[in-house]
Amino acid sequence: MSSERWQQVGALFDRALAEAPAGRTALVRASSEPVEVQDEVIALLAAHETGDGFLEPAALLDAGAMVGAYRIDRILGRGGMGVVYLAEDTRLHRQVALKALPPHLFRDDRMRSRLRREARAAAALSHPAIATVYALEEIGDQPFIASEYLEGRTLREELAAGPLAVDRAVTTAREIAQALAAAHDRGIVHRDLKPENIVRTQSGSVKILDFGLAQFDAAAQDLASVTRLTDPGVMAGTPPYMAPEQLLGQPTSARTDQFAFGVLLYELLTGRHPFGTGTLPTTIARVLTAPPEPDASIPAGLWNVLERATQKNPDDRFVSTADLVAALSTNHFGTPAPQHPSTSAPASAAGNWWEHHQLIAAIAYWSMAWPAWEVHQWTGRYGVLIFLATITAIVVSANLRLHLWFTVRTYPLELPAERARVARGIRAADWGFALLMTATGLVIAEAHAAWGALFVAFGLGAALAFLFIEPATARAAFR
Amino acid sequence: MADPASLMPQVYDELRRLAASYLRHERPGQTLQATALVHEAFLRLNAEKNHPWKNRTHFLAIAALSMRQILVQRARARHAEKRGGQDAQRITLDESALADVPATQPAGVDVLALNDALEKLAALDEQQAKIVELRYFGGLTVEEVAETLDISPATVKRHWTLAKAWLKRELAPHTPSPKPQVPGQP
Repeated sequence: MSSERWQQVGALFDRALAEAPAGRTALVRASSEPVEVQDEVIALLAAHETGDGFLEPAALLDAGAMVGAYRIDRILGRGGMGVVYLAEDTRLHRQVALKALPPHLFRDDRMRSRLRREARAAAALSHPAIATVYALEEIGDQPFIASEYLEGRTLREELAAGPLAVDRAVTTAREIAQALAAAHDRGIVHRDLKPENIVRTQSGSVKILDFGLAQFDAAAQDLASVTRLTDPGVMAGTPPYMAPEQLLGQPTSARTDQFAFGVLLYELLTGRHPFGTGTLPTTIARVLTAPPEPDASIPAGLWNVLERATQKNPDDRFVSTADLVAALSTNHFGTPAPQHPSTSAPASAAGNWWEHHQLIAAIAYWSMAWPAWEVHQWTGRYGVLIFLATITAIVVSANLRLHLWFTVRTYPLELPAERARVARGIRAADWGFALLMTATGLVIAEAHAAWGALFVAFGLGAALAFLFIEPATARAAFR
Repeated sequence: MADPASLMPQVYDELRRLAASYLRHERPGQTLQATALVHEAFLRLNAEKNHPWKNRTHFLAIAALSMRQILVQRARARHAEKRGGQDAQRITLDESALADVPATQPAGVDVLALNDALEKLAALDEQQAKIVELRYFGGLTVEEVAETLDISPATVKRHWTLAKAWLKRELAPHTPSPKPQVPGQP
């Protein structure tokens, strides 16, 4: 073939490629080029359409390669935005996980500076349940991140043997949640939390991998990685742990990790993905619209936590990850979940008592506002100050109790988190109220015996109520 | 940009040394990742202060040419060694050895056959052959090839697609004539 002919072939080939595959042959045959050229183009199109990565470069470092002071051993894993090698630090003679950009991003300045930034963020984290970043190395003009290499099984491998016992699942989940909370406290979001990214070490504790690094991964991947998921043979069967906002390409936050955590918690307890194990598009649709499938083996308290964590709207999840940790810590997990969890929360008789206790205590506290004003003239120079302190205690304690009462009646799922949030305020105000009442009563008792008796009685009564009665009803209600 | 060939010795030597160290304990079916070697050579050489290339792209253009020569020479040498044997041992370049690609991926590309085919392609269109050399042996991205050859990325992509299709057909074991595509056939 002459090079002029080849030019004709190239031009017709380009025109055909602009067409949808089905119409290409017709387009070529309809062209005015000689049959010889047409035949050649059709043959080339056939070769093109069976394209399967032919001649595509995929540079990775081979075993034995030296990168600075690191000797590559093997590839531990690779994703769209990073390759992780097992390497030996030849200076310190220890194994490290060495993360680098994949070849096609090697010269992308934006990705490089992102990798550096995220490495710095991850290095700022020091937590027993987070894999430690040792160093950010600049070799050639490339950033490499050396971090702790953990031997052990990933939670994915552990889950292959079936769900975890409730106790073990809760302990594991709590360790993960605490690590997340510590990271979120520093403004670092994982964004790619999944069983593959959590390793159970030989000591039995868990460690989260790729902290901060994943932020750069996920941000760059977003929808691209989801379409990758649908590629047969590439990552098929890996259920998504992405929150709806991630799937939709909306801004992510610490609450994005809460969603992945909720999915993970469900999986630890049941061995199943909460949004089904059907085809990927089905699963994605469920992530976006359907609540997690209720499962009778999940205790109610845990169900509440994971249901709240997997709310579609980030604003409906836990206010902070610390609240999630608190909800996991304050709950008692024994009874199975009701089939209609949205009407759950303490619906028992004890629960009713607890609700009533909150309401009655709030009313009783407020009822002392006027008497406190009446007696302030008899408590000497500090009368007004004492009155103001009393009112403060009343307002804080009574209103927080009313808040809990309101929560349990309207948003029962949020009760555990809200209780954890306001518990300290109520306790402090209760003490203040009881002490101020009793003290006021004692001071005025000599001159105004009846008022004094009323105040002392109220103070002691309040103390008895919040020290003994309320904890007992709460224990019964939230068992 | 200086002539890549004048900058070759340093890059060539480094690449040859690396390739040799990988191939020292050669096994049957040994594969070499050309672009991995180039990448590693760059990491090593770029750490030295006074290197003659201006930037990574410049280096890669040199390295692609070096890599092609090293692999072809090596394949020829092996060929000569085994001449007479029915199963002449050939080095295959297996870019997919570590990639997550389905098993349908061809096991590798015969370097000598690819080299011959590239020479034939160069007779038809020199630029297309160069693009393949840069992409395949040097691991350059489309944008880097465009920069090196001073053409647009769209042109690079067009040429690369065409050249790949042509090479694929040229290197296929036996494809005498174009076959109509039958739906459902692998």
